[in-house]
Amino acid sequence: MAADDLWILGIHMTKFGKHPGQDLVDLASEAVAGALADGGVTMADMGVIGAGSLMAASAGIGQQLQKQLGQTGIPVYNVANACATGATALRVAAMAVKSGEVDMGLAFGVEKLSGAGLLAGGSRL
Amino acid sequence: MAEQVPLVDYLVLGDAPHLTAHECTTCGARYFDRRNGCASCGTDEFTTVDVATTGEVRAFTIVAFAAPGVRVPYVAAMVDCGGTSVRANLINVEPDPEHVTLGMAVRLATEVIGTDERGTEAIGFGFEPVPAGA
Amino acid sequence: MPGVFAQIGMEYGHRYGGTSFELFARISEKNHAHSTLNPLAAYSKRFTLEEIMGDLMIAYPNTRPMCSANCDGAAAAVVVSGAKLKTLSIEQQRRAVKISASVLTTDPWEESCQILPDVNTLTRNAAALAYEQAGVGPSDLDLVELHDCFATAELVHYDNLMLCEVGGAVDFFNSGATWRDGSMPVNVSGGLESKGHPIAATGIANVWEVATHLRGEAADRQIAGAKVGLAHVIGLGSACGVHILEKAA
Repeated sequence: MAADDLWILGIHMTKFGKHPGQDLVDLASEAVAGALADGGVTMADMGVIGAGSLMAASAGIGQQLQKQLGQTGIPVYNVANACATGATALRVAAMAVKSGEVDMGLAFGVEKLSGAGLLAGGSRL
Repeated sequence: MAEQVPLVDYLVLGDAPHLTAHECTTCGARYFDRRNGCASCGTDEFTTVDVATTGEVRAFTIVAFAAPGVRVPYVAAMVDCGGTSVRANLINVEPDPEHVTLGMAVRLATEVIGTDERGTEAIGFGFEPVPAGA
Repeated sequence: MPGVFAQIGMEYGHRYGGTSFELFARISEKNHAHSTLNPLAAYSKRFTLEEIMGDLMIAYPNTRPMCSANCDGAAAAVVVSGAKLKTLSIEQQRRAVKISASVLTTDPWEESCQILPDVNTLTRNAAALAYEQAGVGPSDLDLVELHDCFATAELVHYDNLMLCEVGGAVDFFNSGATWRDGSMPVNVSGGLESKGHPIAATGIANVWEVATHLRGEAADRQIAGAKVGLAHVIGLGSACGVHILEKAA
């Protein structure tokens, strides 16, 4: 493998469907913890986070995830590009690694749309 | 006595009201909110611990302008309870700089926030000055 | 949005012919059939063509099963440089999947693009860039996860992603090529129509699907010998993301 190649080390998706007992951050945490475990790495190894959630677009979902799984002080890019948001988050991590700025990056996307109504999923406290 | 319900799930009512926190079993960091993991060390095992009911005021402001329906002025503070930072209002004290000072000794106090049609009381908490000589 | 994507599918039919309500419904039939093998799909139920065409009409010709399913979900990925990967364990290196192309485009101006969004040009542009970056062509792909937000959208993306010749999407679909046992399996996960579309998660979830096949870990729905795959998403506004993945040598 060439030094400047880009690789997926770990990747995970939750089951899609109705998850009434899980809010956005629960789902994001499940996916991120799963991806880190799948790659055999930890949050401390990440140099950047690309994060997306259209429903939580203004709420810094990247930082909300950090506050649950690890505030390591790395840059977070909260992105939104409609249905291309997930790919955009992945592009952020890819660009940071490709540029040589970091050697490992995390990207995630999360959404709650089932019963999208008043609070569009809400938040459990 | 009317049924009482704590306003937040980390307030424990009863004879000796106090706050509880989730404490990370690996690094000791404490949190009041929902947890998927420890933001400090990344592991995800917690125990529930009691938080000291006395502390000192590390920071405060006197909110003078708020959303309609919110009574002002009120004191919003950060209280250091034996090493655990707690966000709360200071109650049972005149909300002005003459009566609220940095470093002030305070203790947990509960108050009725509201009552529903069935008479159930919602109980919130704040911190009040420790009486001199107490 | 079902309306806009319905119009987009209809516009393709107007240009090249061969489309019909039934044709679009058969695309949906394929995706729902595929989903029965995917335990992570929001819906994994087979629908007959009659059931699909007889279901609640949302925006002609898209009926409810032909629309992406609103649901909850999340997906995440850890990306690493080749240099760093070489320092990790043999097992980590074995399961790593190469990202040989990672592209994002937006829609360039064209006549009427602000009347009916053009999802075609930016997708074709993204695909061209991706194939060039990866040094592969469409015929090298073993599977594709594309953005079937609506059944009508899937048809136009066969053409946009250059899986078939220009104007040839209808014949391409009718040949059976895009079923899981065809020459170009498309949306073996069940696609957005049955796997679901928790919007921000989808762009990484379809990369997960492709990566899982390339790792040989797709269980019952494994596309045998998969070595190269493409993942595509497109958001109205617009933005298009294309990733090409390759199995570790």
